[in-house]
Amino acid sequence: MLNNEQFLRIIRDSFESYLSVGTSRSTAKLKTLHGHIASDLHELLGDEFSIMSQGYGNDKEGSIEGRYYPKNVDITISYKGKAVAGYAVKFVMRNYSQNSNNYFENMLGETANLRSNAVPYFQIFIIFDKVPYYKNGGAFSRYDVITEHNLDKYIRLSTDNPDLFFHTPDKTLVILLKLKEKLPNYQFLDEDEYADYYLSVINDNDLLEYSNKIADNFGNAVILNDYEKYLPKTCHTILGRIK
Amino acid sequence: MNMFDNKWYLQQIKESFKVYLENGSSTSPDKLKSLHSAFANNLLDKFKDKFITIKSLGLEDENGKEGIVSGHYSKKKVDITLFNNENEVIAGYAVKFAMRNIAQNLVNYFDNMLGENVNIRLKDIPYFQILILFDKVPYFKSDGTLDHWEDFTNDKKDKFTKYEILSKDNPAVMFHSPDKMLFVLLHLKEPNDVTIARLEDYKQYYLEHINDEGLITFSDKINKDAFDPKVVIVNDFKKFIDKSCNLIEGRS
Repeated sequence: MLNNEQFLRIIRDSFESYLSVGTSRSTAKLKTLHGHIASDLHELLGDEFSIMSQGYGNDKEGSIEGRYYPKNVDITISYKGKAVAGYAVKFVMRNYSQNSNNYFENMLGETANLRSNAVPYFQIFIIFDKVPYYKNGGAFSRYDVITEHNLDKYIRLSTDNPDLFFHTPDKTLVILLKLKEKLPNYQFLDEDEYADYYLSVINDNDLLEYSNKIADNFGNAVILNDYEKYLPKTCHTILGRIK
Repeated sequence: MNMFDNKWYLQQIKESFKVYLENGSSTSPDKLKSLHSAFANNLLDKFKDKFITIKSLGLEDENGKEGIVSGHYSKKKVDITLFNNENEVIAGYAVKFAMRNIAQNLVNYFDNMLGENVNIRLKDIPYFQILILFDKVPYFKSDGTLDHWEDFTNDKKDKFTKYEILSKDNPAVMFHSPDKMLFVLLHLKEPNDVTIARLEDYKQYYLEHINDEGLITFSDKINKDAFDPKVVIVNDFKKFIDKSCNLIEGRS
């Protein structure tokens, strides 16, 4: 299983795919990240379980029966041919402030759909502590600086009791990252300049590190910047819930 | 036609549809104004003997914009927000009127709807949903050409199953369910003498026929029996408003 340093390198690879392809929705960006997490889950859960994900096995997402509708899920865990758990992975690289409420409401909704059908559901949320905001057309507008205030809703979520609420993920991993700056507070002209710069330094050792910008005020339901701790805990939940 | 009856609401929907056809964007505030204010005015009328104020687009005073509600997780702009005389939020209504390219977005609408219900309802604020759709809608590509028709009475019928299941939820223990939902499926008279090839054709045709008798009617292609009206009321504005107001009165 990846340790936290190795996980950081996988995130870097995913970032590199995004910069090369130019869209945050590209499947290339997802394959590296999802595929490695899927591989780790296979290692932790053993051969009795099968894992479906882009970048792993037959390179396809699985589908899980929800209470309301069947949902394509980033990483699907099956046991004896039946989907028994899912992971959603979100890596936000741009325009966070515009979409943050939408992301969050969407996440609550999809969680409610699966968990009200007794399927454990886990979230992995990855974000830089400064996220570029581009206008239509790609011109750089500003940085969204992620503070504890921006993550208030996740702090609130972390103290919810998933046993009482269907919409609360069984466990969430929040990864907050510090991305090396070209110069202190340097503002890029547009997304092309941003991509060119970061591709030129993509192999620098100090490109990415876990951010210590926010205090860990999260309750039990959210783990901050600790993949090594998060993934085994989720596997215990899965093992504890199957027959 | 009496004000606030089902026929009156169909008239308001037609107005909203007309604004969409004239202005072009399905999210334009002008399209929302007439529809949101219809509900808001109906609610003002229902509560006329109480000290209740409402914020909504289309109301003609300083309350003519959405209210802000502090939810369990985040602040949320709510389409129609009711306040008591101490200016506390006592209920909210979300209104969605989708006119085209629906099938691909319906899961997103649904997930978002569940998420916003939780955010508001965990603050002990009753929250109601209104979803209005046509039973057959065009799917236009980004260049404006018609790709296909989405037929919710036929091959896309299963897209509504999730709302049928939602109708059987118990909102008292499922905070992601709305306290009550109005699901409106409408039928738009189909063109019988022209071919719609582009969004512009569609707009032009319906603007020319906007005053046709029976242009917009309730669709008879929905199986109402599949919905439990305790949570989801189908094609009945009046009943929905009455029931949701009962719930608000009972809680405040």
